[in-house]
Amino acid sequence: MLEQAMTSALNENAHPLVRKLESIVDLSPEEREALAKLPVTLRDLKADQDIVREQDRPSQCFTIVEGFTFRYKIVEGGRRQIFAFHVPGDTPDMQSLHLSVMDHTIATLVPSKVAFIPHDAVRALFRVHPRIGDVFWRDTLIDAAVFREWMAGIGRRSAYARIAHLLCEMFVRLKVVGLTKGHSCVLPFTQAELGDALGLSTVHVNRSLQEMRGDGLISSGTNSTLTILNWEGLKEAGDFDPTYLHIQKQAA
Amino acid sequence: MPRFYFDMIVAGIELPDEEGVDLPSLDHACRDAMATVAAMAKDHSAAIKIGVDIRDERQPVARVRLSLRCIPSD
Repeated sequence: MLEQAMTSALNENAHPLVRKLESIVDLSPEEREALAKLPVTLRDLKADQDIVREQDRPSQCFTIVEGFTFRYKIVEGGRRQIFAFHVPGDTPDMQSLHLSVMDHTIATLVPSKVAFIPHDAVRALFRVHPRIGDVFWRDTLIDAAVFREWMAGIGRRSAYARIAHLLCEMFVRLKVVGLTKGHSCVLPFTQAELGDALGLSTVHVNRSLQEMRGDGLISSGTNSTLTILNWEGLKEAGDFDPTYLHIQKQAA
Repeated sequence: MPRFYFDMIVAGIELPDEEGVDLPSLDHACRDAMATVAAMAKDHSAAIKIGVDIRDERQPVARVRLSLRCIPSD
C-alpha cells in the first residue's frame, strides 16, 4: 500500500488551507485554534486516483495539502470532460456537506496529499465560527464564477484564447497560495488533460502551445514548469480579467 | 506510444510541427487531426482552407484536407 493514513490535528502540514483563508479574512486567534483542532486524516494518494466518485455519499470532505486534483465526468463515447483543476488550499468537495450524492468525480492529477475532515466537524466549526462558514460559502460561489468563465471559454473563445486564459487563471490561483516563483509555476497537466478541460484535441493543444511559445508569451521547461514571458500579452490573448477570482489580498 | 507530427498549412501559411504528439495509433492521430481542423475552422468563422500532413518518425502516413466556403446562390 502506497497509501498511508494518519489522524492528526490540522497542523502546518495543512498550511495551504489556513493560508487560503487568510488571503480572504484575518483569522482571529480563536478561529486559528479551532482550525488547528479540526480532526483531519492525512492521506498520500497516487496520481490519477479517484478521491470521491460520482454517486458516492461522502461523510467527509477534503482539503488539498500538496498536489493537484481535478473534477471530471465521463460523457458519451467514454470521453472525459474536466470541469476544474484544484490547487493546495482548495476544498473541492465542500458541496457534499449539503448535497448528499456526488454528481461528478474528483481525482488526483499527480501524487497528492489531502486532508479529510468529517462533515460533522466542519458543521460544528461553522456553527461556532460562522465567519469561517461564510468564507467557505464565498469559496463555493467563486467556484461557480470559475465555471461561468470556463463556459464562456469553451462556448465562445478560440483554442488559443482558451489555453491562454487557463494558464493565466492557474498562475493567479497558485500565486495566492505561494506556489509561484517569479513568473514561473508548476502546472503538471498533460496536453491531453488540457484538451479534456478545454474541449480541444491533444493535437490542437500542442499546436496552440507551440504557437504561444513562438509568439513569446510563455516558455515551458522540463518538469511541467510554465514560465510566463509576457504577462500582459498572455492576459490579452486569453481575454483574462481576474475579477471573477475575487482575490482580495494578493493581486497578481 | 508512437509519435506523430502534424505539419499544417493554414490559409496558405506552412506551420511545420517541430514537437509531435505521442498518440496510441494512426487511427487516433487521424481523428485528432480532423477534430483539430474542424475546431480551427470554427474559430476562424470565415472561408478557409486547412491542410494537415501527418507523419510518424519515418514517413508521411496520412493527410487531412478541409476547404470551407460559402457559395452565394444565383
